[in-house]
Amino acid sequence: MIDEHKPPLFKGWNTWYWIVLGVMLVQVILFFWLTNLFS
Amino acid sequence: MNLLDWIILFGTLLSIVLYGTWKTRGAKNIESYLKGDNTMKWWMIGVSIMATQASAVTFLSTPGQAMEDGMRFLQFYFGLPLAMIIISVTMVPIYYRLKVYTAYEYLETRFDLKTRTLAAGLFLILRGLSAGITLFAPSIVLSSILGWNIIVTTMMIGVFVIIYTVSGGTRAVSLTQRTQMAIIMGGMVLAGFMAYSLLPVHVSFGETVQLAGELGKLNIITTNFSMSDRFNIWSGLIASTFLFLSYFGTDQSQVARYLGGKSLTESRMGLIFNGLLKIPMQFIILFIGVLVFVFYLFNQPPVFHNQTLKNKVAKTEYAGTMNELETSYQSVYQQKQETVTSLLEGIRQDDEASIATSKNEYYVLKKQEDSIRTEVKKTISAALPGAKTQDRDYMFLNFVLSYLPHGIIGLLLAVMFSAAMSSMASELNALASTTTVDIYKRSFKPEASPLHYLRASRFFTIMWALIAMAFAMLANMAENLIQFVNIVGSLFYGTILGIFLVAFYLKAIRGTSVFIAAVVGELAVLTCYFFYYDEIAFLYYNIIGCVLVVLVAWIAHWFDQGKEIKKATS
Repeated sequence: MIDEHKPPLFKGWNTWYWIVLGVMLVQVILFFWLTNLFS
Repeated sequence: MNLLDWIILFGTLLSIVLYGTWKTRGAKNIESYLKGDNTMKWWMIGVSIMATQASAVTFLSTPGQAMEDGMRFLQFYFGLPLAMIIISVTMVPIYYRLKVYTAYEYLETRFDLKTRTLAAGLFLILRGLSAGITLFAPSIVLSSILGWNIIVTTMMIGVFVIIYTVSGGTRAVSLTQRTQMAIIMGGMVLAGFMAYSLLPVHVSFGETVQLAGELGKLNIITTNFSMSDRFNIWSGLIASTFLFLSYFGTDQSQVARYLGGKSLTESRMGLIFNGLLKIPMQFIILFIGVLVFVFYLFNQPPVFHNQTLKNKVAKTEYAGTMNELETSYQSVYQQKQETVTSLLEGIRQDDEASIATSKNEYYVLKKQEDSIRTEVKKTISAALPGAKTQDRDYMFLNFVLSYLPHGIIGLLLAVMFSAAMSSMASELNALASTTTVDIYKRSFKPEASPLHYLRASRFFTIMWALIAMAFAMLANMAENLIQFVNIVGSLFYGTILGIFLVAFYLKAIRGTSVFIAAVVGELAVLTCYFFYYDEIAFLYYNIIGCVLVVLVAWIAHWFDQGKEIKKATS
């Protein structure tokens, strides 16, 4: 078994992965909005 | 440039080299040299990953990309966060469990020696070429500014990198990258502020953004799907994910960054750090290009941004033609400037009709400007046969040299050289590791002492640096450096990723099947590149290579199984 400590702040890694996906989604939405503002 | 700029530039670079060499002197064994004692924390890994990916090409070429084509290049990075997650979940634990030095060691455990050697070989070709491009970009810049021969400038940068990379190995690379990244981020933020501060006082930030938007530079998201279109949301989300999975998951120059982590947790957090920050970082760099674009709406840009080349033409018989073209360009620019002033007024009055009219006029004049520029490029080709007439990679640099104050010029040049050095150091370190571990130690000299392999690693580091320098001097760059780097990557990453995906997920398939599949996949990608270059955008090579390897491996395995069943029954 690999010696692995838990991730920082949260109990599991899934929370971090959802944060990455969430931030990416927010960015894409923001970019969509910016693009549509001038299209 | 003046004395202050030179002092800042060389002072910064020499400090980094000396600091890196001093702090990491005395690597005693190959483990420390190639893996770096496993002491790196998550933020150091994250910085190292970002510094490895962001070479001078990023800073030279990306702002110019935005100036000409708008910000839609940002879509290229959309697949990166997805790739970070997949790698954190699947690949990193496997590498940690097997305690490998290189990603390709794993392939022998899973398949056989020939597959390991093939993957390592493809990586060495790919990374060797890329190291040459990484070195070429700042070399050509410096050679252009100084008027020195490119051989001299290439050797200068190459030697700087060799000193601390050969001496300190992975630890030297990681340590120097922290300083380099700080310089890079500070420098780029400063460049952004300076570009904005040089805009006319009467143009606010909001109006700047609106101008850029109305003139099509904030076209971040494009949804039209076409296999021949390089940058749209589909290629960004799907094809780029494949590219980044391969680059971060199987390319030793990145794998080495996070395998040097203190623990699996630290490595995963480093990848997550990269997944969160990469897109905003690229947004800032592209936005700086947009600011420079708006700057040039109010200040006449040069008709050709590579001033050194333009000055050379002025000394030939084509000087007269060039002068006429510059005069025409100036005249068209002045008309365009009036149109921009009307557009700005229309924006302030919120007058849609006026905005539409001004935009139409702008595009008509822009077309005239573009044809003059095309004529200029033809003139340059005629005056200096073989000269590179693509000047997109000089746009940002020319702006820095022409308009920014002394001192800041030196700092921004230090940014570009730091970026080049940080990427090249990772690449050399990875090339040396793979050559030592996957080729030399595995197939040629398996029983030597640790000290012998340490010396071999140092030798291979120098060897690859010399190969990269030779390639840099010979390279004739394609249309745009940042795209060329990714085209070269896309030629090989799909196949390598396919090998690893079969390794991870299709446990029944064995070495020979995947080896045949890899050869077929690579040939298919090369066919697309040489025969269907215009029809298929390069990002899709990653999917084509990867999918073909998986499919052909499965088919070859199926035939193999069929033969074994026949053998068993007969």
